Amino acid sequence: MDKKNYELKVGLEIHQQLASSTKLFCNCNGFNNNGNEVYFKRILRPTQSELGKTDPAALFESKKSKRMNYIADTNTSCLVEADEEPPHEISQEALDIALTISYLLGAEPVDEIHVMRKLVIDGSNTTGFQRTVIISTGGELHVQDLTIPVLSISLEEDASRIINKNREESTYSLDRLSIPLIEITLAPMKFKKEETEKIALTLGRLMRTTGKVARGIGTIRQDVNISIDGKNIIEVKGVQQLDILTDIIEFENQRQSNLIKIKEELIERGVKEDNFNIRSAEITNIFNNTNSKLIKKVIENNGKVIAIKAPKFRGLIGKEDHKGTRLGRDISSLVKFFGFGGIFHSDELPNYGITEDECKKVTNKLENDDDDGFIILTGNTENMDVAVKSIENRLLQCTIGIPAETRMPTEDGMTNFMRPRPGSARMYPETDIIPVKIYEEKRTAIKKSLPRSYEEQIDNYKNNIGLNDKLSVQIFDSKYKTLFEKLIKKVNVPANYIAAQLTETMINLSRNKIDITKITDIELEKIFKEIESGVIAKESFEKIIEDMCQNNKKIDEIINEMKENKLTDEDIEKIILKIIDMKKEIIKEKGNDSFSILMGEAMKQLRGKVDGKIVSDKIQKLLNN
Amino acid sequence: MSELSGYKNESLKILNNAGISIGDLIKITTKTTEYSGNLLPRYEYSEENYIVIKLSNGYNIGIDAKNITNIQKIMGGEKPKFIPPEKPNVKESLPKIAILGTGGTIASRIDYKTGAVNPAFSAEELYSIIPELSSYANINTELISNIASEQMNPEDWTNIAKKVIEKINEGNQGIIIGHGTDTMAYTSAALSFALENCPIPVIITGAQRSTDRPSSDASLNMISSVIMASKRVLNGVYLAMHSSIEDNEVSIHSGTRVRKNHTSKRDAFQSIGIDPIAIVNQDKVTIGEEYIKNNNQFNPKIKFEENVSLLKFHPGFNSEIIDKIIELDAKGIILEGTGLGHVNSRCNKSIKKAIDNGMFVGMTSQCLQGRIKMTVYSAGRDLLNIGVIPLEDMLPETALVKLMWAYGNYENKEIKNIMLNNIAREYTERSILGR
Ligand SMILES: [Zn+2]
Repeated sequence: MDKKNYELKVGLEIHQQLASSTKLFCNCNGFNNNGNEVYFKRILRPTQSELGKTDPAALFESKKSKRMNYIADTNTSCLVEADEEPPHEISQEALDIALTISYLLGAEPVDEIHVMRKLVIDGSNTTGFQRTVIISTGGELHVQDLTIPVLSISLEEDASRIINKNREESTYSLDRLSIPLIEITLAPMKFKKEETEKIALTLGRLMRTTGKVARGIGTIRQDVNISIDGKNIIEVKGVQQLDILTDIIEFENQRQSNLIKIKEELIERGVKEDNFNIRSAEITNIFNNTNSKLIKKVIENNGKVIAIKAPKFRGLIGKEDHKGTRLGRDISSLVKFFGFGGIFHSDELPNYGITEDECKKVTNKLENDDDDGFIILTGNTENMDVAVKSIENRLLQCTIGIPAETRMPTEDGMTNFMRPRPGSARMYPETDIIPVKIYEEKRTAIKKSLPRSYEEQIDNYKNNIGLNDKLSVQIFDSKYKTLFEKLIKKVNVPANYIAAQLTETMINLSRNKIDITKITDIELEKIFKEIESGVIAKESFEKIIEDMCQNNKKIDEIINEMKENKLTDEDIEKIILKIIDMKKEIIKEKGNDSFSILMGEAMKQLRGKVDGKIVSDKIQKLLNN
Repeated sequence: MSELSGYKNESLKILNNAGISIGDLIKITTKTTEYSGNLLPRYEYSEENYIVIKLSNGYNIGIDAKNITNIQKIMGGEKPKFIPPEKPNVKESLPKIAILGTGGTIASRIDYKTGAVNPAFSAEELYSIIPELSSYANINTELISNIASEQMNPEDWTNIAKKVIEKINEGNQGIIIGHGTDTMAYTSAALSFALENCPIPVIITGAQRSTDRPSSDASLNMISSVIMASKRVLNGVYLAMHSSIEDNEVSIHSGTRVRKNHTSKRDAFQSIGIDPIAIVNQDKVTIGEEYIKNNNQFNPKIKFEENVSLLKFHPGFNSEIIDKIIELDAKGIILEGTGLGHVNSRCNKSIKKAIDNGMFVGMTSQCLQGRIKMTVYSAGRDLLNIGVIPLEDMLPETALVKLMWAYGNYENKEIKNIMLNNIAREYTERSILGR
């Protein structure tokens, strides 16, 4: 491959959930899942466009399941999410956050925003469209020496959470639906793939300076547009973890390079778009006595076996210079889209119980030459024609190059076919909401109250608040950043202690599979207040959270119990005096050095009930008497 | 529509000076930035001067004319072209069903270039948008009016009724009427009386959620109405809408006993005091046990008298309102009283005046559920003595429509009898337990 002609270009689209108190178009809070569950079923139909036919991507989707099951929690969803009530006005809080982030990136807000409907009929939006609105355009992101232009910044509704999907129907949970997302589209750039993570991280931190973005799994997602031929863009949707971003870009780089090599090899072998001799044949008979368990089962269930000729593809379908990039895998993920399990292809056969003799019969049936290949599709007859047609299309596309597709990331850093890229944006105005003007007063107010930069905030944590380097970054990146900043002003407990509990202790607990997402900021604030007042000992923080999560105990209950069982000064002194009495031999022997032994003994009895500092003060005092 | 519809004052001047019309690709430079996109019409009524364009990524934005430093046309816009779909092959043996449009959209298509939503109504378009229809019926369509349902008047009911009679005479075996939902139940009551003993099913349907959304309830309501009509088991006037917020079941309500009970939900329409007459679930139609086909002679009487009032009594109700209505030469009044059929006794004088003037005054209950019984309390007995007619469990809106119809088609002396006669299932015989 001639390297000069192909250049890796990567464009990032970052989607970040905002931690606003309501959803984008109603007053539900999407993070408070404690209501009753409501279930309902719906059907989505593709809408007609002005051209008299549905556009190809929508048609493609409409062939898939249209029946949707929705699960709605009555706390996180109302009639708006169920598409039973028109949307309310756009959340001013979300709009303000988006404007803040716009100014942080030097983007220019538009004068009047118009909410649009973008058609999405996979069921992830109950309406069949996603509401989205451009807030600003332009601006730049600076990452060390790199400057990446910002194309646009929009606010949009998050989609429902997929619970389950099969051929007939999909099940979604509505809690996430319509939580505000900010979408930042960066211009595609030639840059080293390693830099991508850094860009995403920098942008993530820039947004976090506002203290108003959601944290945790699924709250930030990257779409990556990757192209190496400069024409056909592969969009990889919904990368949640930064650390696989680099793998995905490398995988796509290799996969697309492989497709270009296949194209060049096909040209070498004399195959072109116009002399591409595709054909297919039913070959169920050949396998009447097969040893292949899979095919046997298909035939028993009245399914069909079809072979598709892959002219001059011998050796190219299984060709794989980089793990997972072979064409065979791509075609396999394509047929899965239509509900088939996968394919067999000539480069991997004989194998899987398919014999050499059977392969020969297939070859004869297709009148294949030595350098021709084939693909075998087996399964239920429903959707078979359209799946065969799409395999034929996919093979034909190999003579042209890389097909523009939307792909899904896998957990191990590869990508799978998801759907063809829609031609043009399928958008029309949300007529239920009138356009909103962004007046000068609002702009000025937002500009005046921009948050300090990441570096400045870390500096402040270190130099003014007194956190160490590690805690400073950890608390900045954590979901408790805003709570932390509030607590250090409100309660008189060392900032270091608060930061450590909110980061290290909480991370520890969730590593131990304790679901800390149930704990609200209000509950945490109560705990720290009682630590300040001495009802709760510092050492009990972890145990209290555990108690709340695992035994479903309410914080007020715990606090009341502690108040009732709280030891008085007298009680504590009695215990300590008893210990001093027991250890008087050692005290005589070691003098002041016996302190640590006494402390250890006292804490054995008092841990979790009394703050360690109080115990040590009391021991000192009583020893000196 | 002018070339620059919606634009006025400053923005109109700017666009005119630059020789720009709707659809053109233009470039706008402002004090701070630059945009290019296609000019869209500005529909919203606004004194402020904003120019709306569609960016190449599909988004619309508005630009304040005050901020524009330069505007220029890059190229002319393409005119959107609509390729109508072809009519599918529909079996001749399927029942012939007419679909009438009154203004509410049954189906629509979207022009993504401009974002405009256009109604789709020809039989060809309906078949292409709701392909299921072709397995149940041979449909023919006619747009008979184009008014939002809240703008409808009794004379529109007359026009619809005329059209229905025409369609019956053309040999249709069922008629579906697309209607905006706001006053749909008034129209269904009106047609129930106007088309007394109607020989075929006349089904009014619509959509609570707009037809341009993939989730619209319009398609299922239409399919189910057509299925119901094609089964040839019912006759009379019905209203068909979703039974629940799910897309599975559609209720076929009696035209006189149905009410819109929610502003936006799919299942806003509910039968009051009775069960829906039938349920359509996919292909399956279940008819209620009490349903008896009406084989009496078709007896259309399609006129309506508008000068009739529906008054809702409330604490603090000013009885002079009744006096004013009498001054307006109203023919009759339907009262929507409290509970079993009461109003504050300070209204009695005015009510008596109305009745003495020959007006019909009927009592219904604002409880909606349940029956009028004015002999229980003295307030009711006093009203009975004055001559107020208790209208059993007839819905207030239905009673109003019936009174308009009665005065439109009958002599004054017949009104009381007509109002008390059960013509179109507006009264139930029994108040059913468990409802
Ligand atoms: Zn809501």
